[in-house]
Amino acid sequence: MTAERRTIRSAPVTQSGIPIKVVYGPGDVRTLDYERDLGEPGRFPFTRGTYPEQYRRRRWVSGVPGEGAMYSGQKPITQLIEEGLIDSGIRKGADYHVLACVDPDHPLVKYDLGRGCPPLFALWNFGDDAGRPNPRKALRRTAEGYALAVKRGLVLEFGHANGSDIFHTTLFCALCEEMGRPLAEFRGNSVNDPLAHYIIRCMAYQPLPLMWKLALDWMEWAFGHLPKFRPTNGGCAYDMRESGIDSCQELAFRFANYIEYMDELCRRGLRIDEIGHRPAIALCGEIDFFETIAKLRAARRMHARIAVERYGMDPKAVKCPPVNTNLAGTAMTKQQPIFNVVRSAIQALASVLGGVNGMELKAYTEVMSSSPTAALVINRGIEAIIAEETGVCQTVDPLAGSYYVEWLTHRVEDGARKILDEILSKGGVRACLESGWIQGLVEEGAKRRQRELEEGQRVLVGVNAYESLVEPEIPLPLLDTLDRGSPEAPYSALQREILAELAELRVRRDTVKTGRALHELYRVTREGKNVVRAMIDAWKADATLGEIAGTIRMGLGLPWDEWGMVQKPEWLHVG
Amino acid sequence: MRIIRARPVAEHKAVKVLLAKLGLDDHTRPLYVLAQGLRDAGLEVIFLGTHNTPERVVRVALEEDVDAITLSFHTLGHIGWLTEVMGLLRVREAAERVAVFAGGIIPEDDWPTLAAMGVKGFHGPGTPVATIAEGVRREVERKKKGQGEGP
Repeated sequence: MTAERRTIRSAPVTQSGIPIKVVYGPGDVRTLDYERDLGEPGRFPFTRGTYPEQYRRRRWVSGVPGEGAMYSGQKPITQLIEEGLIDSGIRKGADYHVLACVDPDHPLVKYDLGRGCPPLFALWNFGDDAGRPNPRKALRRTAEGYALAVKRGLVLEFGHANGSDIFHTTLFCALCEEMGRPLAEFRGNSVNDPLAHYIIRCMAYQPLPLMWKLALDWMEWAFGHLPKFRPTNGGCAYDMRESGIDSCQELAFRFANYIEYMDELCRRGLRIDEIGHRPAIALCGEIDFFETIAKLRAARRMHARIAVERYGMDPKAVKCPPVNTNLAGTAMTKQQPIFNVVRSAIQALASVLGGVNGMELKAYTEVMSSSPTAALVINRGIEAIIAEETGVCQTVDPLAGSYYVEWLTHRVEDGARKILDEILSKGGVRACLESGWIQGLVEEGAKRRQRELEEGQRVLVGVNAYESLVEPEIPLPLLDTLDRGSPEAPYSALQREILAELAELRVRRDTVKTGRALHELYRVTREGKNVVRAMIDAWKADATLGEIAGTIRMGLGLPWDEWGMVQKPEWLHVG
Repeated sequence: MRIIRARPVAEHKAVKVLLAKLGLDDHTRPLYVLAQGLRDAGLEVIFLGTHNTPERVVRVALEEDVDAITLSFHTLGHIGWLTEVMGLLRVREAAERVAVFAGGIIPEDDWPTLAAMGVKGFHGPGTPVATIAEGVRREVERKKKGQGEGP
């Protein structure tokens, strides 16, 4: 090979644009003080880990996306649980109509129904598990699975991320009650960060004041009633990062949102020393190996320092939340999907070296479709190999003291703190949203990423370099059985089944009972009280998601439907 | 601007393209990047954003007299949505005048079906913005030439 062919093509900067020196040495960590900046694992400021023994004590929670299981190309969730492929956690994302807080038959849903995630819209979907005589059970493949996950006490992650989480978290509370399971045993977490989605301007389905109220009501209620549930991630850093911002901004935005929620909950009377450590820190696991490690270490340190500096806590009383990663989907390519397996492995290794307590790997099909079963097997294999074969889990924070890692950890934290201070000096996230300043940063970031790719400073193998490696494509199983409809019959069989199930529920339920529960929800909303209990009762009275959302909207003085396309049902006397 | 001025007088008008997402698909980031990129490449961009119905897309396209519509899909609902859009364009007798492009996640298996409906091009993940701009411009020029030579 010629020297030129062995030249690294990507620019000598981290993924966030931090310049990287040829070599690092003692001079780069001169100011590092072990007790002040690192501390023992599990001790303030938690740079080295949330727990003293980390993986010696317990491995990370493996998040598995559940959405692929809707389709016949993947095994049902119940089978995945029985076979042990799902053994610690499962994510339940939100379908588009759930994010938008409307029913599956809303005119904007149409062909997208069920394309994001299982479109659970009523307790009726769970059939026998919820004591409902639903013969159709169109969503059997997932509904039975999630019910089993609840029974087994697996960690259920509600990955809605736009504040619509409350619709499904309360639905699952209703399911627990119908199954006779104590709510105190309900394990899971919800991302529940509406601010993130106004920041990245991609899910602004409903007005912010509405989503803000719902998100905060859920946090307030769940902190008091669900000891094993984390009702918010404090900030959906993952989604914001994937929208184009860099790692420093990711941390800054996450903590800015966290502060916004914690301040409000304190105003509602909750105590920071009781709730401050409950939201998990969920970040994006990037392909930039060292920057990911640095970011995870910096995140814990930031949490600890904010607890002391902003909330006046005694360092000895500060507790560290678990830190999780969702591995970056934007690192994945359509070209040569098997390369995505390699990328997942590197992202996962970086996450583990950064000390994560939970992670979710992306499927090699990320750019094309939900996960086929083969992708789940591969990803669980990656995790097992990292855990058992590489030896990296046997000692805590093995990279501590590395000149580069410590320098970069400091550099990422420092960059993040500066941005966070700027956000706070401008009046916090909601003020920055109003001025449009924060959305502008995201847009700039997205453009920068595209430019870097097109100009070649950032290399994506098989996309803008090494094109010879992508032909021919190495075959991997795809989720190819998804029925995408046809010009003659544009709805898939599953979509038709779901719509029929909704129509059937509307005919078969006792609308007097439903109406009574919705009226109570309306009253509670109008009086400015916490809506969670009334929402759970509305689900139990067989209300649908769109009806619950519409009722809350009316209670807040808004029209029934955000888009003016659907009318309030005639039998419902609210507003 | 330079590109526009360099054109023959007869083709003085910039190529006008409408960008939109249909339904509740929330993957808007690529569309924002594309809107900026196409504008930078000298195209006139009408950006309709999210939560559109096919009726609205077609109505605005005709009101604004655009040369092309670019729709981005990340839900695998593209067949149903595009069936509606193409049907509305045909009803309004604009299917020949307005070139429709689709981007995002569209399996190659579906390209023939969509092409048979009249969709002119597909821009999947990793396509440089310049390639998309060039594709739209070429198709629009081809159409205009075709119309000029017609009876």
